[in-house]
Amino acid sequence: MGLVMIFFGAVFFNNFVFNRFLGICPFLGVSKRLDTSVGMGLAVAFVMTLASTLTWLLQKLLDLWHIGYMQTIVFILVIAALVQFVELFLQNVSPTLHKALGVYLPLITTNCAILGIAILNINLGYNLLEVVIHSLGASLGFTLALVMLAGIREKLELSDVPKAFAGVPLALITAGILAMAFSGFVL
Amino acid sequence: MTILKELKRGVFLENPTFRLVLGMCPTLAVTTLAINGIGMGLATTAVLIGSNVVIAALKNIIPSQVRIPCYIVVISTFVTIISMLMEAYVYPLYEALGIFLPLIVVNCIILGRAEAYASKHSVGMSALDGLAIGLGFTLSLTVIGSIREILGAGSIFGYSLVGENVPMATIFSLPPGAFFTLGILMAVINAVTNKKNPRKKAAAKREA
Amino acid sequence: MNTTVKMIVVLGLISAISAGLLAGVNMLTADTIKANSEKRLYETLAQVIEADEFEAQEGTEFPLWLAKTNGEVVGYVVRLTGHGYSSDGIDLLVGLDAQATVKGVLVFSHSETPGLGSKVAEQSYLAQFVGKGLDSAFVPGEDVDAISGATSSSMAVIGSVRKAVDFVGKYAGLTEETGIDFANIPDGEYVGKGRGFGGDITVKLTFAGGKLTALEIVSHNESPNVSDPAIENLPQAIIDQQTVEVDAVSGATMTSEGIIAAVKDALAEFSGEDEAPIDLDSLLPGKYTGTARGFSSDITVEVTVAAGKILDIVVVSQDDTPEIAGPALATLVEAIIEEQSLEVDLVSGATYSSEGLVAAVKNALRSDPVVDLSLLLDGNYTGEAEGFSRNPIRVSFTMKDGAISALKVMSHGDTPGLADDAFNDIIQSIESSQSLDVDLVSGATYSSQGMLEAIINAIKAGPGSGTGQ
Repeated sequence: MGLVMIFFGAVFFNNFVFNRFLGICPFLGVSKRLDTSVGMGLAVAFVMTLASTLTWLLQKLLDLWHIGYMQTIVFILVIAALVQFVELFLQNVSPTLHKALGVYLPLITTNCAILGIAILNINLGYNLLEVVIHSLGASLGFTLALVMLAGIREKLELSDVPKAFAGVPLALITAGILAMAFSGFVL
Repeated sequence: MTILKELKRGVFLENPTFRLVLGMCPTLAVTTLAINGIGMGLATTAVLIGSNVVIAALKNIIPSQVRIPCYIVVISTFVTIISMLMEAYVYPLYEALGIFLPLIVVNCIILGRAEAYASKHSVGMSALDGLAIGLGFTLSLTVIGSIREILGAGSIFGYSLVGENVPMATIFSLPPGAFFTLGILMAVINAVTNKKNPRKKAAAKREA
Repeated sequence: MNTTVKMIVVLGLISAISAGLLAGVNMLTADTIKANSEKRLYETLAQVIEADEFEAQEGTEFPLWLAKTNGEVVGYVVRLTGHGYSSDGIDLLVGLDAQATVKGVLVFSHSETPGLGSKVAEQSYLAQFVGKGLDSAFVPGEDVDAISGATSSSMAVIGSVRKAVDFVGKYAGLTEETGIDFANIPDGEYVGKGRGFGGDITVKLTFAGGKLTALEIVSHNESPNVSDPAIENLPQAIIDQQTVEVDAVSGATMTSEGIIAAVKDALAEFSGEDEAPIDLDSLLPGKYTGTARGFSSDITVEVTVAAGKILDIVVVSQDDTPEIAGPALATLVEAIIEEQSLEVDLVSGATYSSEGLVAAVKNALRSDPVVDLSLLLDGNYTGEAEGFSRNPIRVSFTMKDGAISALKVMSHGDTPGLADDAFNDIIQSIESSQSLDVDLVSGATYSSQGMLEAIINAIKAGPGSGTGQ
């Protein structure tokens, strides 16, 4: 019950993009085309789950040593290293997967959704299982938002819009309307 | 003169929010109130100046292969210091910015300036660049925060502008309002600058 | 210099300097941060109960602070998390005084829907809990309100406040554990009912060898999934611990409490709390009025009793659905009069109305009646009761065709003259009005009361018997 709530909560009620405002940069940057947004979504799901598990374990150490103030610095370094490692790993083990996800990986280091979920997991006091479920839900929610916006933007490309609105402004307003739809999940 | 020129560049020509579309998460998330916008802007500015100065000073020592990890360490150190100071001395603001305070670390503006500017310029110029870009960011956030606060809560910097029982467009305080405000502001700025340029060209033609 | 070494050295140095710097700033700010957060905590606590200082308690079921003024404990603050609509929970503080009466409630963090669930965090809603205590039922729609459209948020808050009251009640030793001792229960099967989230939960308990050996949930109407943890685990917990004082399963509190209530109901006769059964023979003839809750309204009945028999039951007022409740109540009234017992079968389809009626009749028969002398059997009556002095007032009278006559005080020890005059006044009033509803004589109140009591005792004793003569 709790886990189901956490999962769907992360996908819908507390959607990372529309409600928590995390991962907006790739959301705006990579949402021009549908196929790239799916690739980005998968890459984020992969790194997010790994990173939040790892940072959750590290937080136990930080707490043990009473150096909670090192949280930000440790987390971001771990995420950066993890992304590097994942990239190397994919390159050697599965070149096809690397080809599909590789270009998105460097972008992910500075994706605040990753560091965001790592810190959120700690703040919400989740246990390891909840952390994994939360990460999966959050990345699914992120992918959902990304794919939805990309689908709409592909159509918008072909429409005749006022010049001042072309590009990011229109994407933002579209996102606003999507966010209104998502706020409908919360009763 | 350079100072003014730098400031103009940071605040207007290369405004991180409206021109470079960087650092969108805090821009959207914390701007429910004008004061939060200023707080976030100033915290980011402080980190930006600090990291720019340190990175410019160390640019000859840091090997290029590990520069990104080094930058990240420097930036997150400043972020942590700022957030500790804020927790101790301006707690309400610390609470309002919440998770977005540590997330300054991944604000692309900061790593972007370190990579694009501070690693190539002197300490003084880098400090100035940090100040200029930071102020541009602060200004953008304050403008967005003011608009959302006026429309959503009927107040500005906490001072109520309308009576108690006037219904406000609460949606501007909610997530969708953030997207709308930023999108429309960007479009307005685009429209204004698009108009300005042809006119300048036309004026230049007439003079010639 | 070797580049790899340089890389490692530089990165290591920068990290070391950074760590040192952070440790330094942390040392500088840690005390301020800690002092600030304590100050904020106390300011927050002071919003729910006034006190000079607060003292955190350790190892309690919920975080608890003692509120102290001049070094004395004046109350408690409990922190609880209720689970409403959102997954993040509703964090609240409940301030209670030393008698576990709620002084203030504060929701300090929640992520319920703005404008709907968030209303439970507003003082306009929370203020209703002030003054509630151990004797409050916390039933939505009765003594507390739920916000319509935000029921789960409301239920979370109501449940948390009730938990806080119970917890402090126990902590402060105000509530006795009901202590049904399973070892004293005779072997056999017992069935009981308790109200859960979706309606009544029926349980069947089997006792053998002074132990509860099986607890079966016979029927329930709880939501699937949500209630599962309670339905699956609680019976075992009760069997394992051999007590009904088990903790509710979190997330399924209402169901848990329903099960616990059902078990208590099944064992009610052993709890020592059970009310004495109504003995019709001991009842005075007259009209009894009582009220109880039916399906959607209160049911008020007037019960006429004479000579140890229920003669008539009139439903004075009720607002339940007439088509359903009307015939049901009529059937039930007939059944009660026929069987002269309140242990009648409820009318299916109108269970609440039926239960309401039975409860109303019970309440009526436990209340003081308006004695109707005309219902008394013919014969001579005598009775005595204490008056002003220690010597009893003894009275006798004759009933013939529903009329009282020859009422006299045979002996008494009260002040001669004064009391005699009073007795004469009362005799006159009773005989002329043919009713016991007479004014007491001022100046001789005790004597008057004593005499009326003696008459009532005489009625209770019945004709012909009694003391004296």
